[in-house]
Amino acid sequence: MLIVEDVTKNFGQFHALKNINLEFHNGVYGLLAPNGAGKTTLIKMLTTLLFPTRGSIRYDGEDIIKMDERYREMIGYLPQEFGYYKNYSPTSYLLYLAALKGIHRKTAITRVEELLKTVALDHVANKKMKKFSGGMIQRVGIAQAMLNDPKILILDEPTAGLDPKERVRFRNLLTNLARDRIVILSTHIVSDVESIANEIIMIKNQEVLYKDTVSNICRKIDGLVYETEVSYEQTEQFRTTYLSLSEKQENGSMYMRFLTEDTAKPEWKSVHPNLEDVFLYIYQDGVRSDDQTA
Amino acid sequence: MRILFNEVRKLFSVKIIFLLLLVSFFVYQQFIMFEFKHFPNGRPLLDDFRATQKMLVDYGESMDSEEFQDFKEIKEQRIAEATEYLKSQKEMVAAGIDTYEEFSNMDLENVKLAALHSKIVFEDYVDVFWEIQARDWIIDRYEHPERFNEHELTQEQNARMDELVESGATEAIFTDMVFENYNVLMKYVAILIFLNIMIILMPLYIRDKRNHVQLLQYTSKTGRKLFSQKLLTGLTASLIIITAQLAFFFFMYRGNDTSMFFPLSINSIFNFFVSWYDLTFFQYIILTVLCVYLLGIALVLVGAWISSIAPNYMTSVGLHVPLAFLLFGTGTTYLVQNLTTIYLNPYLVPISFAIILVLSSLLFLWRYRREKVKNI
Repeated sequence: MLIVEDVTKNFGQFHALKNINLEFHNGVYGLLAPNGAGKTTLIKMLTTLLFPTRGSIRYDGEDIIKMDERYREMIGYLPQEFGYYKNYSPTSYLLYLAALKGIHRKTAITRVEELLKTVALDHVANKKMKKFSGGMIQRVGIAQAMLNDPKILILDEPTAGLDPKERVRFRNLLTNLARDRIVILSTHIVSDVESIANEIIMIKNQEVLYKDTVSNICRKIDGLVYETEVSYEQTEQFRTTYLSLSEKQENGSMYMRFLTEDTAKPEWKSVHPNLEDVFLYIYQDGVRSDDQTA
Repeated sequence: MRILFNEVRKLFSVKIIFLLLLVSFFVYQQFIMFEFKHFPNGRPLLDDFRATQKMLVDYGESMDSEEFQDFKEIKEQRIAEATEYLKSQKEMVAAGIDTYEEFSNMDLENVKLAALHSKIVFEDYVDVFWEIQARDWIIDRYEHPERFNEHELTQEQNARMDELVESGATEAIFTDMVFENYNVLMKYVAILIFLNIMIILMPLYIRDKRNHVQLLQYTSKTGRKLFSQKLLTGLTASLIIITAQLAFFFFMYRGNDTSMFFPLSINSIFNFFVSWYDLTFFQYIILTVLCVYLLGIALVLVGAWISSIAPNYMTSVGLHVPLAFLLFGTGTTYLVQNLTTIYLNPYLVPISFAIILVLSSLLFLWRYRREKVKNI
């Protein structure tokens, strides 16, 4: 069990995270927040790249910093910016990382072959990575994170660059893996975690806002989400009055999904909220300011 | 061991090996080959060298008074040969120059005589005239050992000079041209080695920091220990370079044919260098090699430090510039060349090395400790 207890991280005067308390058991955890909310800071602390200013992170009751290499040999990590050597092949690069992870060479050779098949890169196993697409590189990153069969798998924006087919494949892979390990998946793409995460962690104002199942989180805005048709002329007015969640043009008018705490009008159709609705609702300040900036 | 091997392999990438070969080729072509091709450099140095080689064959490692007499007799024979030669030259006889004595006292202000002199010495390169000149210099040095001690020296320096004269070390048949040639070569080879080390160490830490591989390295089981293992990598790579460069250099140096001077004392009256220690030329060579290795190790520590703090290659190059000036100039002059010279403090070399190695180690240690607790 991995426990984050009263963790605060400051960078000089800047507070990146405040009093974070979390508990992780086996399963998939989706760390969901907009860019710049502190996801990567939390992940870097979980991987010992950053040290908490206050508080501690413990694995099975022991401080992960004190556990040192005993902790690191249990983790698999895919950073947001996955680094690699352009002139290396996936095989040689994974073998290089396997050595750093303390995996015996013979075991590593077999493991690398298996993993490259798993991420569908076996046909380019010995090709230099400089010619690889973003998706292929990301798959090498996913493979390296699983090299040591980690008890804790931490993935920072793992689906960046993957096409829809690869995303589905990746999500299935994670679901299988999560049966006997902790998988922490940081993302700002809601669909990445909605279907597979046992729990979602949302961070706002440097603090944990929610840590709950998808359905429980969605329940927070139950009865507030509606869909309706709006004429093109009324669209702008509608957007300023209500929080628009999604929009599509249909039959000469605008079909809008929106959130409001006002009393429902007869033409509005109440719908079940999904995680993306919650995300947009919680981070609406950010969404609106982004829109204004755009 | 696997980690070390992998890291060393990373340093010796094809591009870097090509760059090392290119730099080595350039330095050899511009500076080092000259000392191989033109050794001894012109005349009468060639004649000095030949005379010294003959002395070694005839008299062994040193020349006693009896052997000195023999040496002088050979010179008289050469004078007789020179006289015979002059008598065989019609122009010389016509000019009234038919003995070597007359030849050596020729009025060179006289254009006609100067032309005749020049023809024998510089156009026809008649060996015997050059050899007599070389032997004259050796005889002069041997007959006036007091000149060995003609500088204004401290009491300790004088005592050392006296000690060398008494022990007979000054009688060794050594020659300054071999010593100078070796020193010049060693300076350039040391500079080339240091340049190679700088090149190979530059990406040591920068490369992994810049392409974000460090995140994967520091979260692996090895973790931040890799920082110190990379130093070991740098040391291994540098030792490979130093050894390879020195091996190639000594292979080339064989062509200068100086091995017969190896067992001889460098404190010879025929050498302009005097050491605080009783060293043979071979021991001196070993000492220079040792110093190159030590300076190389210190450079690895400083180079690794630079690579670990510099955010990019340009900054790293900038930080290397003053280091290169210091090392290629002062460093090689006092810590590779002229080692143990009597004109410098006898403790200069050991104290300098102790300070350099301690400071560079502390610098790296400080960086290592910071790295262990640094937010990445």
